[in-house]
Amino acid sequence: MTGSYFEDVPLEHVEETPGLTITSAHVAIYLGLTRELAADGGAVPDVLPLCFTTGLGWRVPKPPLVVLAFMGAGRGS
Amino acid sequence: MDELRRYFDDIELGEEYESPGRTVTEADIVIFAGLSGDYNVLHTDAEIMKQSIFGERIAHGLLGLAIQAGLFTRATQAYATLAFVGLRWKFKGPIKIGDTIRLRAKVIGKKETPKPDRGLVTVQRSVLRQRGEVVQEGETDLMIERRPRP
Repeated sequence: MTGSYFEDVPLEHVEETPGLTITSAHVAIYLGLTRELAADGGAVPDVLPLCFTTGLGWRVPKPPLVVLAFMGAGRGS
Repeated sequence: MDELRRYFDDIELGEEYESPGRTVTEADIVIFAGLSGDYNVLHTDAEIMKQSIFGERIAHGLLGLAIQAGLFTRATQAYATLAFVGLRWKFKGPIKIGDTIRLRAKVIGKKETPKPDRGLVTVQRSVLRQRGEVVQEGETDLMIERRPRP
């Protein structure tokens, strides 16, 4: 498989992805999928932008990471 | 409308909730791949995944996180949430097509903030599969509105 393996991944290296405009269609699909409640004023559900991160990562122009599993996310407020 | 939401002062430390179950389907994974743009073979290539440690396609980890956010709304009366401000999360096991997941949650922290109209609530959450295995767990920090003064 063509891809970036563990040995190929540099520590502390920053990549920037192309942009993605979040639309009301994204929000509607997400709310239908999750059954979260729509926010007042049509605000984007908080978890939705996080959901875009892995897909945006695929759009960086280099061989994709050969992922076995997603292990963890986040840090404290 | 205000009575439909629970304010910071209404939420008690130690409250526990359990959601109904939700069976994760192939459609959920297909929709999430389209929504997120994440077409990793883990989620989309049934043939490759037959040879993998999982033996079959698995749900995106972030799909599980997203579904549990919806399950939380079915587990308790809605909070008067202003913002989701923190997340510490572990993906402990795969969610496979046909798995039924549910959420267990517990309020483990309440903190006043410098702003008088809001406070911080920390909720510990566990996503369990049908046999009780924890597949995801972590803590979420929510900024909750305080009850408006008359």
